[in-house]
Amino acid sequence: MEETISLQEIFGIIKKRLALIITLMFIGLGFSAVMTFVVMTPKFSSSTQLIVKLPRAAEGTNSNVNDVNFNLYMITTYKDFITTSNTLAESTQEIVARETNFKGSAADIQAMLQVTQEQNSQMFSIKATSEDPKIAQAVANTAAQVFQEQAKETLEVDKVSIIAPAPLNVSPISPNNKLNLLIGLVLGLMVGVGISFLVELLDKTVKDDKFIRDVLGYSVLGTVPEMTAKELSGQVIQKPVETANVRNNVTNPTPNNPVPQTRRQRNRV
Amino acid sequence: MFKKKAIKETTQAVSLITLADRTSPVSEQYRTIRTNIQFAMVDKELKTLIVTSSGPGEGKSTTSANLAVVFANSGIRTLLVDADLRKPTVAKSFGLRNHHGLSNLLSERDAKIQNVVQSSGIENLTILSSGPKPPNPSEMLGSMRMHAVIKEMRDAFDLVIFDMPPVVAVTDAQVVASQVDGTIMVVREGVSNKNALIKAKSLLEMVNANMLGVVYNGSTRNVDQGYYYYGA
Repeated sequence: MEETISLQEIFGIIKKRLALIITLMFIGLGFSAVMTFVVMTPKFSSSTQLIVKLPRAAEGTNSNVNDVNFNLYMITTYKDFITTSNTLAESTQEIVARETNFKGSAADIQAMLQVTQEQNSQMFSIKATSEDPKIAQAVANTAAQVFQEQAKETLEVDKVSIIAPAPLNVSPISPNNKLNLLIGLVLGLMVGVGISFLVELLDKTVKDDKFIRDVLGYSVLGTVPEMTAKELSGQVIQKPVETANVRNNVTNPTPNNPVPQTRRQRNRV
Repeated sequence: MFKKKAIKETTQAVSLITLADRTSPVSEQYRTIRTNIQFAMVDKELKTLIVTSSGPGEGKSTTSANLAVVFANSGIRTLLVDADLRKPTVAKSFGLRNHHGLSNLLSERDAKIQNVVQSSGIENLTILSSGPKPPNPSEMLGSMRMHAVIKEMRDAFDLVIFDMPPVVAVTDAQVVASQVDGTIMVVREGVSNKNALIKAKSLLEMVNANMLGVVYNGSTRNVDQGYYYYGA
């Protein structure tokens, strides 16, 4: 038998399991809060901005569009050089280790570095990310200086100018507290709703009288609603209970009095 | 002249909404069920019926007791029999003693109905409690003596309601269902198991029980929203 579920039933299930859903939402929120504020280590970043110019064209020749395009194209090479060059990483590591309490390797320096470029711009940035804001600043600035030195001899670049040195950023870039808490809340909600529907799916008890009519084929004589607390509390009635032995005080049923009634004991005055 | 002997007044807590609050929507539903039962066998005589369910905790005793009250209120001389010899509740619900009852009627050949029934304190309603717990309830309910007792009850009352144990758990309800005029099944929302109900149906069909219908109990939906307005 094909079972369909209406929108009303969906909301009914959610309403029924609202406490579970809310609980799991708060559990998700709590879990994400623990992960964000206790487990995850905050990371800081610092960027230095550079501009690179290629060797000038010979006297008397005009610099054309191709030169500009070539300039832009070369920035990709500089990116690769900064992020993959072992010599740059080693030199940077040595300097940073001297200046700060950095104890990482050249490979760690490479992992920390990132090069970004604005579209169609001859400017680019060297960004360093670390758990220590001072190390992030030192790595970004040192990498820029080392690149400045090594670019001339290795890439034959005429001039590398550092436009803006890396500042000390004390506000972490990750974790994103608000986003993480929101993710935890949404995941909790999803798990809660999922469990609610799973429980409902596995629950083989009767939910409405449709099953009685359609599957059992019985008619419903009446539907008795769930009694309210007021109705349940109002079920105390004043009723006289005779202490005498009732069995010995019943009259025999007669056509006029077919229901055996208790004979009240009487005393003469 | 005669002076009445003082009758000890005690307050009894009973799960009888039809007695505690006759104007409540729940009481109204029981009256609707009463009417539907009367219409269910309009062409046949309905003098004996059993109230059962597929499993425990579905509201058989509450339903049978409240139905007995509403039938009695309509002037029908009603006998409520606690035929659940394993877990009796009727006597407790009506604040009566359970020293003697159905088990005595079935085990003692010379026992008379009028000696074991008790007055409920409600007009037209008489109670026959289960009596002492016997070692063989199913055998007792299926005995020839039970046939004779049911016949005796039919002659003395307009309607006899048997509060039975669950169908699936024990054979008691099956045994009695074959001897009475009608069977009512109580189904409780969120409690009654679908598979158990299907099994209960097949078990009752095996003994050719005359199924009058189902009382759908504990509904969380508003079954009688208009009733509140009407009564306002």
